[in-house]
Amino acid sequence: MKKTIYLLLIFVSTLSAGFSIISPENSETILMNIQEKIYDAFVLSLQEQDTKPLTEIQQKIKQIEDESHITTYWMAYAKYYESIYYLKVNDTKNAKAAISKGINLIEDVPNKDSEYYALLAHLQSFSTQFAEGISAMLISNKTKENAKSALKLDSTNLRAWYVLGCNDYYTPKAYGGKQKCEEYFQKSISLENQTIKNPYMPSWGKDDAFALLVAYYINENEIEKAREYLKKALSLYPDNYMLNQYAEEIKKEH
Amino acid sequence: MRKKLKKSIKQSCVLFALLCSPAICGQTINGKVVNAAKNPVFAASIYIKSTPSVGTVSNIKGEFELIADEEQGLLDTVVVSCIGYQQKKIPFDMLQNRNFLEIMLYEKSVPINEVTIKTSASLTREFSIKKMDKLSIYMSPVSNGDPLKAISFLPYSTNTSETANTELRGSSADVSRVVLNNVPIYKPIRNTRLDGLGNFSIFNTELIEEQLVYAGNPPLKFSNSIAGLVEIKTIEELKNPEELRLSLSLASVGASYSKELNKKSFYQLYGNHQFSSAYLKLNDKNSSFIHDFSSTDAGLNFHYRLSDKLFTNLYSYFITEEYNSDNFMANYMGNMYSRNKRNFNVANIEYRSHFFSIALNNGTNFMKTNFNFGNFNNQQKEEQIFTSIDSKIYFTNFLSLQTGLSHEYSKEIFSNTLPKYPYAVSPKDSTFSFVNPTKMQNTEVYLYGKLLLGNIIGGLGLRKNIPTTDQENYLSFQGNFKYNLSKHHSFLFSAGKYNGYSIPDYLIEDFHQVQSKQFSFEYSFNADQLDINFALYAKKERQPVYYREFESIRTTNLKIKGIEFSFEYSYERLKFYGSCISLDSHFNVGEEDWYNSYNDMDYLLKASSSYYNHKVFNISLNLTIHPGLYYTPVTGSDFDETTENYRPLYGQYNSQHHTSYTSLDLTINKIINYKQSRILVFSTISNLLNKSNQQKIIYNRDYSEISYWNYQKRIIYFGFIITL
Repeated sequence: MKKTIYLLLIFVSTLSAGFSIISPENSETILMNIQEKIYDAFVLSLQEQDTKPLTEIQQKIKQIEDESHITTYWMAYAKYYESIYYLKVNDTKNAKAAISKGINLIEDVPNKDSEYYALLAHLQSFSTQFAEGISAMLISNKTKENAKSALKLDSTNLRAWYVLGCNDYYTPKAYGGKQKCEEYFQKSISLENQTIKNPYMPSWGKDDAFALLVAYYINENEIEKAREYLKKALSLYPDNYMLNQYAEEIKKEH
Repeated sequence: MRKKLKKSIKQSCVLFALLCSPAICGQTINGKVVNAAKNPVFAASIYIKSTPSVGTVSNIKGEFELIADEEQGLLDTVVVSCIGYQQKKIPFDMLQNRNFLEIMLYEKSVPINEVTIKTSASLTREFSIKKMDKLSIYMSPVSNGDPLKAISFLPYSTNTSETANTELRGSSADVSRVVLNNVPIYKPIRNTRLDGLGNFSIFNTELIEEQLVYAGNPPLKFSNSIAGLVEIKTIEELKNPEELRLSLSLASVGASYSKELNKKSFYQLYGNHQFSSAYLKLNDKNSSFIHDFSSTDAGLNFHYRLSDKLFTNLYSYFITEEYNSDNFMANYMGNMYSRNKRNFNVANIEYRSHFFSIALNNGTNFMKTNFNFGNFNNQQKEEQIFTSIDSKIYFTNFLSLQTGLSHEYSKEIFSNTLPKYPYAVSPKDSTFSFVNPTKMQNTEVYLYGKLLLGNIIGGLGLRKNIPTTDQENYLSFQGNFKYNLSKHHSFLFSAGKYNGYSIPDYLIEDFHQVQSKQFSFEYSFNADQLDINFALYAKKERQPVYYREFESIRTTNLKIKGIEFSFEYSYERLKFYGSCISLDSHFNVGEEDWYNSYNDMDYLLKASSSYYNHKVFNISLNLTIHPGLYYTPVTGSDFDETTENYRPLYGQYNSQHHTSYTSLDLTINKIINYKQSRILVFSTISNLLNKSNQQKIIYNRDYSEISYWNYQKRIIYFGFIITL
């Protein structure tokens, strides 16, 4: 009997020790290259025409317990892709709901750092398409304010420069837009994705900044510059869908 | 041999020592990143500042291993950063020879959007009750694009005169202040004697970066602030490198041009000419008392950056204006003519580093006004020179100080021909003439401190005058305390005692000391689509007032208490706004009895509904309702044989009031985009219901019959602005 109790105790302690070892490994594993994982889930959702892959990755992130709000960041980021997914399948109502949830998640983070402000601005910029009239103008102003807050905290945050550029790029010329986006995108692509390679932290933005800079030059009919930056961008991001689209466009029309 | 061995050992030791020196060979730093609760911080980046290739990431237990090798680059500072925490920098030398290191990261406790940490921004920004940028001024349904008119529809504005005058929380425009780039601008209104359209401020919205409204208890970094205050800051960066705007409306034609000189330097030029013929022809029926008005103004804003940290800004404005209309005073109605020429300049030079700034500010104002009515013939020449030095120091994100010194010199010369008897004002009545020169110098020092303790932001200000021999000694003090309960809810408590000097005009031709004591409590709820504000306030003011009843100036005590409630709700293309003020205002003139102030109102209601659709048009319907203002009735008259005129006999002060005031205004505008140009077409119909709103009483010669002088009835105005 005594032996059985000992065995049971050994089994329970091994099990609990095992959990305590397995559990953190799981968290670490889930968050390893999380940005790519969310993107992959988005692509899979599109292929399967089902939100399941995106929902699953969100559930995994939700399970992780951490005090540093990293999971909040990635949950909001996943909500952004969920919104794009709904938009692609013409479900505007859910697209709007998803991006609003993403924005609310970040807004509720009490002490935002540069990355949070940059993502908040990015999500707000995206949500402008669901707003009308005065709301759209107010959101655009908030976007700019948050991108600037991100830069105040870290002037080397390329994502903040990219969002600032985006906001200017999508503002019509008649409303003072397209004046500074070139400068902002140039600044964005001149910076590093991350100060050091950190697989748990965001690295998005540079390829998008390249893509919009090329689009800007095409629209402004500065084809030589568009070619030059496209070449640089494709050498860094050969598989980027938008960059390849622009390459084809230039080849066809010019 | 022994000597050789000794030398060899010595060489080996040196070599060993060199090899082991962390400066030469690689060093492995093991450590753990934890938060204040000693819990591990996962995914923190740990790297060398000058050599980011030397870096690593903490694991789920917060642990890390950093291998630093000088061959990879300079090893100066270790940076530890993670989302949600304050970045930590540790000199590399401090880590040498340490086997294990525990690095504690603290959560960011300063929400950047709540607390000003930029020396370029106003230190007291958090305590302003309303922040308006260029867009929100233009979006205000009643502003007509004017910054001060935009304030007149805010809940705190108790302006009942249909002008752009800044009257906040029951205090008169004479004691409410407007400050432009740290320099006070007195009488910031043009066409002050116009009763309808054309009553604008002297500021151009295109030049404004931000205006902060302190409805009461303004921070004591400003001189001569007694009641509410508006702090205006001009832009430091152009949105477009070059822009030309042309405007044409029923009563004015104008142009503005802005150009970037280099990345951070630019100039803005503008000019307008106002004319009355078309306006009066279209609105003849409802503006019959106006004969003619005109004005020409020009302005320059020049911003030049001498270096990254040093810049200079110059704002210059010139205006000449004339106004010719009927007016009524005592028992005489006749023609009133006024002419005004004015130039003011605001020059600033400022040095700004990240945690320190120092600014030298100078303002000059030169004005000459002529006024003719009945047997009045007044000329007022005004000169003001204001100089101040202000310095801000941000010791930490939690503690900042602003201190400074201001000097104001004012000189007024009144050349008067006035009625000998105040009730005999027709041109044939007797007069007397005199010249009255008056001067004032006011030097003050101040200290303002701002402290952040968690969700509480506190500000305390002290301001002391350095009196001349004939001036009274005074000390002003005040405090603002803001508590941010959450991102949606905040409370603001303010209290203070203020001192300053009145600004002379044709009724009170001298400088008098004025005082106020104020207390206010505000609650704000701010969400994406809904804003709600509630305020309670009480104040006592002491200032000189001219009483026609006494035919003299008397020091007057005012007691003002008020309750404010307002909301703003946006939904898609619609926006709704509503506010309600109840103002309890009484005065006495040194006796025991207290009387109603002219603006004692049980309610002042403002409401607005707007629909915005750039593809179709933007439309706003705005309503203002309040009870009629109080006035002192004339109960009879005596015939005075000396003047051969009737002398009025007055009843109790402000014992009667006019009928209630209602004005419904409609604003419609449309933006048309053509190629790269934008055309804004706008039109307004004020007093859409064509209601006769009483402004003052008109008496016949012996005061036995009365009729009413009304505000303008329905007025139509339209125009367009082209931006190229």
